[in-house]
Order: sequence, then structure tokens, then C-alpha cells
Amino acid sequence: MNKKLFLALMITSLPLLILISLGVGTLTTVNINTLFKVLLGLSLTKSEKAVITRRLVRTLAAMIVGFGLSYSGLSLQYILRNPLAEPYIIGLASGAALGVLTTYLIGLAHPLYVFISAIIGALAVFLIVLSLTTILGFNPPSIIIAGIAVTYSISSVNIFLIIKLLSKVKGAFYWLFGSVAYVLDYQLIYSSIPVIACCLWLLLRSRELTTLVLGDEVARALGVNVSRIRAEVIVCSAISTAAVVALAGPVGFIGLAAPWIARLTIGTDFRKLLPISVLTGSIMCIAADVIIRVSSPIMEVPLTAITSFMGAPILIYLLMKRLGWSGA
Amino acid sequence: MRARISILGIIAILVSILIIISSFLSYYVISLSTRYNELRSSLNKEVSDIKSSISNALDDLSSLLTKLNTTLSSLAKNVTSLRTETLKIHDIYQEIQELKVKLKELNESLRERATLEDLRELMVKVDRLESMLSNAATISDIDKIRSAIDEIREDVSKLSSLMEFPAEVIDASGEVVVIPSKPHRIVSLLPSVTEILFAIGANEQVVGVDEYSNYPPEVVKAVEEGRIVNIGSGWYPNIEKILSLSPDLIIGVDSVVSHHTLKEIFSREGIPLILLPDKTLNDVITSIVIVGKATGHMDEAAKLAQELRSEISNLRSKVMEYVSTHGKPRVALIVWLNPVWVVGNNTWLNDLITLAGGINAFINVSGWVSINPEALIEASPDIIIVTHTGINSSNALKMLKEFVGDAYKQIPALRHGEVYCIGGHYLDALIRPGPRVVQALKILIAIINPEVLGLKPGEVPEDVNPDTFKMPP
Repeated sequence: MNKKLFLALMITSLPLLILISLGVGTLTTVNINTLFKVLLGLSLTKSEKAVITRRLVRTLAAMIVGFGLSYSGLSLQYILRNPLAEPYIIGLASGAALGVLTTYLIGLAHPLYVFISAIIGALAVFLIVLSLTTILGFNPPSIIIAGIAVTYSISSVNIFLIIKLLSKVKGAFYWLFGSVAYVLDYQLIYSSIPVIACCLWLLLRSRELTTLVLGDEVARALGVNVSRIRAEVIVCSAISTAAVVALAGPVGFIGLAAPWIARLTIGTDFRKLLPISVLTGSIMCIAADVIIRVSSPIMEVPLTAITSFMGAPILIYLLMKRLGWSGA
Repeated sequence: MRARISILGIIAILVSILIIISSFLSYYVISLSTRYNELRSSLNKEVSDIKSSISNALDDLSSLLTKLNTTLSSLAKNVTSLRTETLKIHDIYQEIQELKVKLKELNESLRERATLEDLRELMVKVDRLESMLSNAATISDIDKIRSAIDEIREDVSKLSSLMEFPAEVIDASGEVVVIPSKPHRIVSLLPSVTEILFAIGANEQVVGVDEYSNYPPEVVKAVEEGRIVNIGSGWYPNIEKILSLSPDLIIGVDSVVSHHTLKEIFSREGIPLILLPDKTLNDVITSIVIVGKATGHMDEAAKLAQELRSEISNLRSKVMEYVSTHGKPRVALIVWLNPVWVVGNNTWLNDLITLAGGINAFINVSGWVSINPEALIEASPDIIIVTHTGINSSNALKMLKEFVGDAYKQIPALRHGEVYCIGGHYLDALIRPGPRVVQALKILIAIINPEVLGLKPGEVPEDVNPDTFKMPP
């Protein structure tokens, strides 16, 4: 009953939230009434249309960010068998930031170059992690250690670059801290294709992934090629996370919180968990973006500030409830 | 049990209704936006077709006009050299009067854009006038001729202003930005841009500025009265706020990364965004000309740029003459004290220090950098200029002495107390790449080489702000 209620709540709140997101913003003259005007086929003014288009791009971008990060986080938690795994653990965010900073260093600031360099940077660093893990042995601990080590070393390069380049990264913190305020329509399209494709691929592999919970030996006994599944999942999450990071910068906490919120309410079946955590992630991101626009109507605030602030209490509440049950 | 089933049923029905409504809504939004995009692209195509045909026709006209302009300027040069000739003045004067009438007619007919013949005639007349002038003039009547020629020039520039739009400017991103008609709703993203717009007389066209735009004082007043809207942070502007002003031109700068993204976003809505170059002192003057062309204030902008250039070169020659006998002091410009940030090479502030007759003590680093005490000791500046907001010179001196410790005795500026703090709107003039560069340069000269401006060494206070120090004319 509880699970079903949660599911119903999630499914209904996503479209509602999208509507709210389209109707809320700095410009209060463009609101829910304007949406009804769209619905009734009435014509809008030029600036109303422009504002609605911007909000649509922003909302869809937030949805894709939540979508991509949550399933990448979930599947990495599964295959690394580590509850703290999140999409950035394999070095993607620092790699993307390195790519972007390098483009600024060269003096290119065109958004398309920035987008491409973020993807290239993320995937390049991921390849370094991957080759390190093949040397160390392709198992969860070595992936995590290689990922963390590479993340830290790349981050130190990034910090160095930011300090050196401070006068060249004016106005770039919206990307470095994660925000959907300045997403462009073509970036949204380029990002959503790999994110959705990788999600479908993982959905096809969900039966094998569920068996991994029982341990490598049991999974092997059930006829699952454990190493191959692990490699597939890592590559899929790397691609989708790279696409998301290039779109909106490193938005934090969604990749950890969304799968956990889903897991604490639904259970451990990957086939059910995947859609639910994707829903949770999308809802969290859109809600965070709405909260940003309501709480700070003129100044743009990074998305990470809200996702972490909002996600942590929910996660702690669910964990405490869970512990209370098992303790009783 | 039954009640629970019925509740579940109601929930299920509500859920499905909501899903259906939301899918309808999203279908409407999507179909509307695609229809809007199709319409817009077809309209865009038509508009660009019309535009190209108009611009083809206008190309001829504008080339003629530029030729006219160059002829006229060479004419003016000739006039000044013709002080001894005495023949045919009245003929020329009549000729000029005729030309003026002709130009007035032209002015009218140009509105109908059918003027090629008239312009050719005008060219022939001007050529004839020039050949006459080259062997004719008396001292007393030269002034008359000169004023008549000035009037013709004005007419010509009025004519050319009719042809200024659609204007095409090449901005710092290297792209050609087309401004279809004279903009009347301009949004400025930075204080320096606002200053440029007001300096060239485009203030009536500005509808939005960023939150730090405070100069000239009319801006603050206009924002308070609601004639100009505050669009928030200039580095992270609020897109909806800008869209709500329905601007027809937005101006940002090259060095702010987010302005490049905004350029793409607003180009989707057909709103041109210009990125001004802002690296060097020369870029500042180029920016003024670009803004002038884009806003339809070409003459004012060209005049302002010319004034700034000549004032800078005047000051430069004075400074050069002075430092050739007195030597150049080493100057450190500290933009922030906590941590200590200094200005290095490749900045307009470095250009200003050099022009003011100083040697930037941190010439070997590029951009704005944070330094440690040893770097300051190594640089050993003779003069330190601090632009940290809200601090006085004695506190700055104390902080810098604490920063380097006992070694401060090795730094001439700290040993002799040559630490200057710039405040008030002098500070803004110095750190903004805008039309107040000459004022900024004068402030630096007053501190570094006061004798160049006729000041005595002790006359410039350590706290240089509008209350303590009046700028010499």
C-alpha cells in the first residue's frame, strides 16, 4: 500500500511539477494563466512565448539532469556494490571541468565548444580510470580507488587552473557549480539522446543486474557474465553522466540521493528501482530548479546548492524511519 | 475492504485523469512551439531576402557617400593650407550655397531611396569645388568657407545616418552582428558598457542595466524612477528579466564567459547581442566605436574616441618628456588586499601604468594574480596603489607591513609610506574599461608623476577620492 501510494504520488507529481515549472519564474506576468491561454489556443505576445520557451528548455534540462544522474548512480551502486557510489566517482565531473577550463584557457568561450570540450574531457578522464582499473584488476574496489585517485588529481589541476585563470572564468561559475539557467536548446537535444539511449540499454540488462545483488558467484552460476555486465554498465553511466555534466555542469547529490530514496521505499529489485529512481531524480531536479526561481527571483543560484540542501533531509528521514523499523 | 478498493479506484481514476490532462498540455505546448518555430523561420527567410536586396542597393550609395566624405576631409585640409591665395572666393561661396541646396533636396529624396544620380552630380560639384579651392582663398573669407563646408559635412553625416541601419558590426567573438533598425530598447550587462552608452548620448535608448551600473548619476536616478530596470548580476544575468524588457539590442563583453552563452540564447529570439573587446586600452576605444555604430551614434562615438586618443597621446608625450629626465618608478597596483591580488601584464590597467610613466612591478606575470609576501619583496615597488574597496591608506599600509613582516624595510614604497588608496567614483573610473580611461590615467599620473600635471609631490593625498582630491584640469 505504502509503495503504491509512493508510486502514484511520483507519477502524478512529475507532470504537475512540469506545469508548475512552466508557470513559475521571475516574470510573474507569465504564469499558470498563460499556460491556460496556450491550452485554449489563444495567441501569446512575443516575450511571453520567449519566456515559456526558456522555461521549457530549462525544465526539460533539469529533467534530463535528474534522469541521467539518478540511473547512473543507481547502476554504479549496484555493480560496485558500494552504497556510496555516485556518477562522479569515476572521475567524470572533474574531467569535464578540466575540458571546459582548458577551452577557457585557449580563449574560446562559445557554448558549443564548451559543451564539446566537457564531453571530451569527461570521457578522456574516464578512459584513464578504465585503463588504470584494467591494470589493477577489473573489480569494484580497484574501480573505486582508481576513480577517486584520478578525481582528486584532476581536481587539483582544476583548482590550479581556476586560481591561475580567475580573470578568464568571469561569469563561468554557473557551469562550474552546476545550473540549468543558461542551457541552450541544441545542447538539450545532444544530451538527451545518449542519456535516454543508455537508460534503455540498462533496462534491457536489468535482469542480470538484479542477480548481481546476490554476489558474483551466484550471478555466474545463474549464467550471467559478470565482468561484461560491469563494463557495460560503467560505459553506459559514463556516457550519460558526461552528457549531463556537459549540459548543466556537475550538479551534486542527485546521483546519490535519488537511487537511495527509491531504494528505501521500493526495495532492491533493479527492474522496479530503475524507473522509480529516474522519476525521483527528475522530480528532485525540477523541484530544485523551481525552488531556485521562486526563492531567488533575480539572481541565478547554482542548482547544487538546492539539490543537496533539499535531498539530504529527505534521505536522512527515510533512513531513520528504516532503522526505526528494523530496531523495533 | 470495499471502502479501501473504492478509494484506490478513485485515486486510480484521478491519476489517469491527471496523466491525460498533462499529456494534452505537453502536446499543446510542443505543437505550438513547433508551429511558432516554422512561422519564425519562414518569416526570417523573407526578411533576410528583403534585407539583402535593400543592402545591395544601399552598397552603391554608401560607397559614394564614403568617397564624398573622404573628398570633403581632404578639402578641409586644403583649406587650412590656403592662407595666401585670394582669387574667386565669391564664386566658390555661391557654389557651396548651391551645393547646400542640392544636399537638402538630396536629404529629402534619400528618404525615397532613389538618389544615385543626385549623389553623382553632387560628387562632380564637390570635385569642381575642390579644384577651384586649390588655387583660391583670402584670409578673411576662409572662415566663411570653412563654416559652409562644416554645414555641408553635417548634411552629409545626416544623410549617412539615414543609411546607418541595418548596421553590421564585428564584435569580439569575430561574428558579424546585424542590427536591423536603430535600437530603442538597449540592455547593458556591465557598468562599463552603461558608461559608454551614456557617454555617446544613447541614454534615452537604454531600458535595462546591471545592478552595479552607477555612473553617470543619471543611471541611478533613472533606475530609482523606474525608467531603467535593474536586471540583476551582470555576470549571471536573469534571462526572464531581460526578455520582459523586450530589448532590441543587448551589449556585453568578451571576457565574461556567460555573455557568450547569452548571445546564443538571445539569438534564438532574434535579439542581437554584441560582445565588446575588453583586454587592452585600445580595445576600450574600439568598444566605443562599435557601440556608436550599433546604436546610431556614430558621430558622437567617433568624436569621443578621437578625443580620448588625442588626450591620451597628449598626456603620453608630456609623461615621456618628464620621465626621460626623471626616470620611471616601479609601481605595484594591488586590486585586493586579502589575499593580495596584483595586476600583471596583458591588462588595460598595465597599459595605464605604463602610460602614466611607471614600470609595472609585476610586468612578468600575466593577468590578475594573487601573490605571496616574497613576490612583493622581490618586486620591490617604489609606489603601491591600492584599489581595495572601503579601506584607507594607513590601514592598507599596516596590512601590507603585516603581510611582509620585518622585510617591509626592503620595499621602498612601504619604507617611505608611498601607499595610495583610490576611492569613490575614482575607483570605478580606474577599474572599469569605459570612457573614463583618461580620468583613470590622470589619477595614475597624479600619483606616479605629479609634476607632469603641475602638482607638487606632497599635494596628492594618500587617500585619493573625490572628497580629498580635485583633479587638475
